[in-house]
Amino acid sequence: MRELTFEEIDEQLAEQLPSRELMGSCRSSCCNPCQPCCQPTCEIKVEICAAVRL
Amino acid sequence: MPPRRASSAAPHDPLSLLPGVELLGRVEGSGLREAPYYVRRADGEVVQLSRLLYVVAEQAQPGRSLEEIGRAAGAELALKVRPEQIHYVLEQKLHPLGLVAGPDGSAPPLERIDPLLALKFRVGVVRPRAVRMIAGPLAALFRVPVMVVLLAGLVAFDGWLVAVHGIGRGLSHVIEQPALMLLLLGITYLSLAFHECGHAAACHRGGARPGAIGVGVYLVWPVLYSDVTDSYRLGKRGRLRTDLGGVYFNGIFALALAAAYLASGFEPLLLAVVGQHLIVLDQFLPWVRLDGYYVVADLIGVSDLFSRIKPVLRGLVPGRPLEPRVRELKTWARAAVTAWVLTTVSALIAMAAILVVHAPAYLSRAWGSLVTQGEAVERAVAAGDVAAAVASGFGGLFLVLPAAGFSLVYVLLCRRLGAGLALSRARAAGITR
Repeated sequence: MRELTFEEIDEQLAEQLPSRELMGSCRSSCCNPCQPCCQPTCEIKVEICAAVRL
Repeated sequence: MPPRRASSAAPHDPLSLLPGVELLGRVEGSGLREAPYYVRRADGEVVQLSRLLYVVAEQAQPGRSLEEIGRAAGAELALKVRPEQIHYVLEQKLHPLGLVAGPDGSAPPLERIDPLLALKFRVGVVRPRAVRMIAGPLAALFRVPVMVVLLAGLVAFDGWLVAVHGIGRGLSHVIEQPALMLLLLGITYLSLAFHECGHAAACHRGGARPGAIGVGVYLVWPVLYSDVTDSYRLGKRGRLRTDLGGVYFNGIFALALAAAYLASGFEPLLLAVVGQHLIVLDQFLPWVRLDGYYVVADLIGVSDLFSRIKPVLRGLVPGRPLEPRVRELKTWARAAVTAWVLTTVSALIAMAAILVVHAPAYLSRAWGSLVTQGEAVERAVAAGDVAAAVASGFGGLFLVLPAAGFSLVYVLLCRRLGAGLALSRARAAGITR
């Protein structure tokens, strides 16, 4: 049986994890799908808006 | 390994496990080469430990001497462990994390950590006990036959909506009567509350205890949140169910709106159905702490992806050795985390670049829209139409928020970068460790 060293102890994983707080938000584009915005899903929304206008 | 609860002791025995600390066992489906072990603190926060530290914590029951703990831990680990090493582990490693009482029997102050791009200004609205009362009955919606029927119903309705009916008439209604936007906004917020109930119900379904549901601010957006920190105790399947429970409940909400439309023929409800799908799309963005991020993290089996951005990027520099936080990952997990880091950094840089390039045009259009909304408010006030005035007011607010949000993100990132730079310079100068 080998001896434990202090170096080994210092290398051990020991960390606090972030809380898991799952969020639901109403960002501008969700509430008003035809507004200009810079979010990636906006392209889809713009297409939807264009489609319904056509 | 079944969870074990620390036995209670008050006042605390020096260097022994604190009351309320719960040993949750080995993490299932971890992306780390050596799967970590989770420990839940009395305040509900979770700590991950290596097997060595976990075994020592397990043995550090009140009333036990350092020699006894060392002998028992050593036998389990097949190592010779000296009492002074046990003292060191308990005092230097486990006490600062809030798991073990100090040498004087004191408990350290328990605090949440403040990770990058996290929820701010949170206020619990529905207490954990009430959340559990709501989540209990709703958990039945996660039975497989129920899920199959509901999702099949939603797909069928969506097919009809896209291929046959469309939302043109609903949109015309809203354009003609802007006050209907308020109704849609109300429905959206109601659905967000239901979304949070979905996370809590899924958490409960897996056997974990959902915490409070509340409100907070994410970047600049007002958000509802559900505290499901206890889902760390679940296996991979349970955690993924918790992550996806919110969007599943958006689907159920959309189906309920569809049923209301079929019963009433009220066309604007179809816009709210589309709105639910847009919320789901937004939620799957994996680059900020929305549901999609947690899904990716749980699929890989790595608890905080954001904390690995810097080590992964440093490891990509040719000739530079991999840092421990990269080396500890399994090969496939390392590839997956690297892919996430590269896409996240690329997406954030691309979004920032798009913002900078399009800022003048965007601001000009937003300003024009804002003026229009302002005029609409004036007209509505003059006509005594309160609903239309409030709807236009919200329209203006939602025009301002994205610009404010990106500005805030920029400021926060610069602050972090500046603080990191200052720290590294101070370390280089030998001012601090």
